Amino acid sequence: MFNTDMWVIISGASLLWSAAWSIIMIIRSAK
Amino acid sequence: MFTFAPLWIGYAVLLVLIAKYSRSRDALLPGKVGVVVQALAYVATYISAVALVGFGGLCYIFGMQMLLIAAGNVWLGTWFVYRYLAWPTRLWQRKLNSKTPAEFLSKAFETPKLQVFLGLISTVLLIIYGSAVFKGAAVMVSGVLPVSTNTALAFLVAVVGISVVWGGLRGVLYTEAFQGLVMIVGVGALLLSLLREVGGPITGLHALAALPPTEAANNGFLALSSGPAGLNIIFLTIVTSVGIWAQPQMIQRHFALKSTQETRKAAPLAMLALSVVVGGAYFASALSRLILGPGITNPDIVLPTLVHKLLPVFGQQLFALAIVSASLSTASALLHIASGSLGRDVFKKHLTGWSWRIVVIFCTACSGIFALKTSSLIALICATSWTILACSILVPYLALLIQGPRAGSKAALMSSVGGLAGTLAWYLLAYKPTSMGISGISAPGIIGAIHPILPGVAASFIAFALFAKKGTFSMPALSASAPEEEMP
Repeated sequence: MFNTDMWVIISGASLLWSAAWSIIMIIRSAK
Repeated sequence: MFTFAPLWIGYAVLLVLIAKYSRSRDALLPGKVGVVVQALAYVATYISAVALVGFGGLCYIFGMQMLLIAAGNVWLGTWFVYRYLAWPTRLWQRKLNSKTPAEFLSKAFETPKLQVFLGLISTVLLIIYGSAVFKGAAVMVSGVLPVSTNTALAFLVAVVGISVVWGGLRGVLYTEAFQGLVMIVGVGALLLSLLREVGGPITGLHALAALPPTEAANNGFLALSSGPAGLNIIFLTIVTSVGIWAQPQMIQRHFALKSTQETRKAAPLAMLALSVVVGGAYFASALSRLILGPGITNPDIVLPTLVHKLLPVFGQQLFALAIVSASLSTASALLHIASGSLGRDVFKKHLTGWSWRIVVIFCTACSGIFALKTSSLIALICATSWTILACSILVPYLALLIQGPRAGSKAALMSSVGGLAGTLAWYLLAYKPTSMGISGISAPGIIGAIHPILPGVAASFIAFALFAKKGTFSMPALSASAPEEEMP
């Protein structure tokens, strides 16, 4: 069930994911 | 407090020097700009003090559901923009040899009237919007230094005006990049000290989850609210994450891109910076309820109170610098695009030397004067300008990137006029928060809570479809039609 808590969980997780993905991409492009 | 005056004077001098020594030959074009500078400038232009202090205060009231806005800003407002919009925009701009977003759209659709129309509304709306940004920064400075708000205002207006006159677009991008760094440091310091105070992120989240629901956070502080409060969060996400696509000052940031490779490098840098600044500020502000208690009613004092409680005096000054940086980076972008729109789009001038200085001085002076005035009309324009511009530009801009200028000049002009008319009509007659104070009427029930960005864009699209040339929406026409060539 996509309840109201899920909105916040997905938002928080996607922010963490964006930070992690960005760091990986920055390191890869710096090589 | 005077002991910190050299810090602020040094900051202002540094801004002016950065602008002066990084200028390019053309005041409206960026010239060569490094990818880190581009990414930081994008973030600094995107994030104003309203997004930090104002929305930070809302996080105290609404809780972690405000992270939806931060996630929207990062993915829709940055990743999507760099993935799908930035490079096609740059290709069209280069092909058409245009210097402002209005010129770029009007040349593409071959309708000079669109340039004047968009130039005029951009100038008026952005000058007034800039006045609110200046006012917020002046209040911040007068709070940390023993000077009056008006003195601070005059000082800030002068610093930004000189930076824009001397620096042009390239100078503005470099000052913004510097300000973006200051924002990262300031917000980072606040986030770290807050997490230490509440015992770490997990402990903090557990404690926040245990708090009883309130009227605004009616499903608790870790869930999206039901009813109008939750709807408000979703609309704020759309306005700040999709509305950004069509802001002239943001479109202009893409003009500095040199290749698709550069676009791919800029995106993660901007996303990381935005995640730290907006995600960090909202996360910290939502947790601030654990430290400040439930008693605060004015959201604007949440972050200043929190900073006062958590950071040492130097840290407070650093955070104030971060907030002022957020304001001034937005203000310089607004003044630059307003000046360019007035000189280039409305008066069709080449804008070099004194013609550039005169339009910037005029726009800066107007913005400063509006900041001195307190008027409900100015406040209304400040709150609505972002949406009005988005509704006037979004449909023709996206149509150009998706299918080229096939729809024709009438469709572009009428969709822009239709977007403006539709959004204004909704603000005046249907949207409860504004229409009740102006016309005394509003749409019934939940319809009155629908943000004007939706009906505005819908009106713009309907006008576009009605006036589009035959065959515009046929399948072959929908193939991507951005100029294919790479930069030399």
